[in-house]
Amino acid sequence: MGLIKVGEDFRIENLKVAFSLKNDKITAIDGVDIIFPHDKVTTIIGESGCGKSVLAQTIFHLLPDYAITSGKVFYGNIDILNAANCYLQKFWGKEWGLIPQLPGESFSPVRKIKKHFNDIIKFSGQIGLTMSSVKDSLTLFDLHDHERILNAYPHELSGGMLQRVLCAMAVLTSPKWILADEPTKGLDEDSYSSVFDNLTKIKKSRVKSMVVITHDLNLASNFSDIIIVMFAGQIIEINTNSLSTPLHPYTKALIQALPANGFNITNRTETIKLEQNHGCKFAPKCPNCMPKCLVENSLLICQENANSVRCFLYA
Amino acid sequence: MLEATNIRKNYFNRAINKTFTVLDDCSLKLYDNKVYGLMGKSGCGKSTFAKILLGLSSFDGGQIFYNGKDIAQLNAKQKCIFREKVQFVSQTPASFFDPKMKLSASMCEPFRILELAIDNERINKLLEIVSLPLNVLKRYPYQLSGGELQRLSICRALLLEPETIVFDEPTSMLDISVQAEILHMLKKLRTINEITYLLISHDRRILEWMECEIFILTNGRIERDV
Amino acid sequence: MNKKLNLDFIFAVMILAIIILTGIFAPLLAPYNPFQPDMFNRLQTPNYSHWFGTDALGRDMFSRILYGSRYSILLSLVSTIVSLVIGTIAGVLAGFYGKKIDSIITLLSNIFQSIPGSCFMIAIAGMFGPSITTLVIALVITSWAGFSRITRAEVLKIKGEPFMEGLICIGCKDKMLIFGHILPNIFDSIIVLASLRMGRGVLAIAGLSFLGLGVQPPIPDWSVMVNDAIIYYRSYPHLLVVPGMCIFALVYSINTIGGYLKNNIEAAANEDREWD
Repeated sequence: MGLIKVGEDFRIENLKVAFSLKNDKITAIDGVDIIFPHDKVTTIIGESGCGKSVLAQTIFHLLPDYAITSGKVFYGNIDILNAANCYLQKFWGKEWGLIPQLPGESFSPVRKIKKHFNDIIKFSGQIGLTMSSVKDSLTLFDLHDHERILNAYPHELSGGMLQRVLCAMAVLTSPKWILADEPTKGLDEDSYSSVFDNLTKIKKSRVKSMVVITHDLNLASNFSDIIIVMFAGQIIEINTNSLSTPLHPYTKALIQALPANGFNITNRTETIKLEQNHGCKFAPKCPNCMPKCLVENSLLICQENANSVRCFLYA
Repeated sequence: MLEATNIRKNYFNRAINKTFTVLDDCSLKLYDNKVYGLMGKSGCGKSTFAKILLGLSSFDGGQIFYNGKDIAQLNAKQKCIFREKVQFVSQTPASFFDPKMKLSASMCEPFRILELAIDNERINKLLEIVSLPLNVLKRYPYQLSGGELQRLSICRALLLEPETIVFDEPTSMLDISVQAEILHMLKKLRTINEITYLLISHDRRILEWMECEIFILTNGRIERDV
Repeated sequence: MNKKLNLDFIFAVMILAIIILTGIFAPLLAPYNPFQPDMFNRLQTPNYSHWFGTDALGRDMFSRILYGSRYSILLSLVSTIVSLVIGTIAGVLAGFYGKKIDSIITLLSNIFQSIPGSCFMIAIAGMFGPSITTLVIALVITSWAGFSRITRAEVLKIKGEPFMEGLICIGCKDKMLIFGHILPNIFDSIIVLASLRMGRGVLAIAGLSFLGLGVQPPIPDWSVMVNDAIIYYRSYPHLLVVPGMCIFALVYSINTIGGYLKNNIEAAANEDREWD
């Protein structure tokens, strides 16, 4: 099985992921069917606990050992969930690049930046990769002082600079896919625009297929081709027009709660205690909640422009 | 009334053997029953100033006055009252409660400290105001979300009927929808009790929405926002 | 890997339980009086009437082993607990109050830690005469500093947590902060440290008693039995092997349990993360 020449789609079928912790079994993903098309930027947005990070970790085979999975994840013809680690190692760092969260904590604190790049060159198996490719990569992200940066330890560089270094590391091997995990986390607001610039540069350069995980709606709406909204382990909306016309009540509420829109909150119905909620997970807080919503969960209903929404309002 | 006059705070960077001045002649007066906002870039010293105001951090110059008295000169009883009436809500709700203690014990702690009888009715009433169910008290901090813990922090701050609450970036670690809910709750609280708020944030929009009298901390000094 | 660790742990717990229980019920289990010499039956190899044979004075080895476990465990437990208490008090005071108190306690613990343990123990035993009390004192003096250093580091870590600031803000006083919050939070680490140190304690006691500076004969402590075996072990190896294996078993079980606790406490702490 040789390396795939062109980036493939990720196909997910009825994925469920749970974690067994102490005496509890926590469901992180509760039935997801989606395709991440290659050559497109897909952003997964949602709030804490919705499962967006777990979804991305699943498709790139980065889950911890105690995760319990069911369903299928395909990269082209490869069954990711059942493939051996040693086989998938051919993909990490070569086909698939990662820009992890919290740039300040993503480097080994006792090694210089140069050594981090050396590792990539050594393990990539690509012949043309040298220090000059590294320098080209750094220049792409406006890091011109190569000598200083390569000889620095991670703690000597600012969070914003470290993120640019991470981007340079990710694109060095010209991967087919890049996963950017919460790129704005751990950075102050002045760096937000530079994050957007960094990701745009990646998109314009060799890497066309991206998965971005974020809770930053502005980044999502300005940068993505496809936006997936997750809530409580399920996909509740797929939006292809930059959230200009949000469909699901949750997405609408989220946009209304933004500072720019005046921190509006929905007038929710009384908090309904549902120990085992078989209906819509958002129902207890939804201003449009119908009795049906509490007992039944809608499927993803296709709308025009390849948008979909999981809500009986659109049935 | 809480007042800071000419506060100065130096910071010594051992690595390069140099002293930096984080706060240089900061003064702020907080009158009763008003809402104040303190803005500034990350790392400018807002949190440091808040901690100095609360007597949690040492400083190198200036004084803090509570109702006209220097807090460094307060006797034990007066210090007790100061601690009762001036409360703090931090930006890290997840680590604001002792992880080893049940939340019920953490909530009763203010009563135990002052050697008062535990007022369960008051706790229940406040939980209702912050929209939390009673059963959260049976849990440990790690079992609650950031938003729930932040509401509980505010609840605990209200237990002793404070006059002033200092909020250090209370919503920066929270999701967007939770942030909006917490801000609405803070506004609602002021209609029930007369409390002075000092809200520290990097986001002007939060301070404007809360109708704060805004001050800006730049270059180690506090200036009124125009 | 987890399964293997569990087997080790269960095995270690069983061994420790056997050692403790035989020590407690020694009077009921021992077939002979461990102090009673019987010159007609001296230096017997293991046989039907003496399962572990007899020593140079004809005393039953099996009975002596059973009684001996009491001393080994008790002594190491007592010395570890006393070191723990002193070290924790010192570490908490140094970490919590800082400044001058910290400087003094750190200076003291540096001094005590820099003295080579074995030499110091021998010197103390030599000065005050060999006895069980001297043994315990020697062990405590040479090991409290290690406890205090680690406790201090843990206290500093807890002191830096945001919830400590929150507690000060609601008016919590020092005493309540220390007893109500700091100690419960460092408790796990201290227990793990103590269990790991106990193994060292057993070996130190064995070493000193072997040198004749600790427990004195005719007390049937295992290390005393090893000492007694020196002259005879070439012809009668069981005199050395049996008590030696018992010391090994005790230290192995304590260390394994300590290691398991350490791994599991770390694992439990990591499990409490939120999943996004």
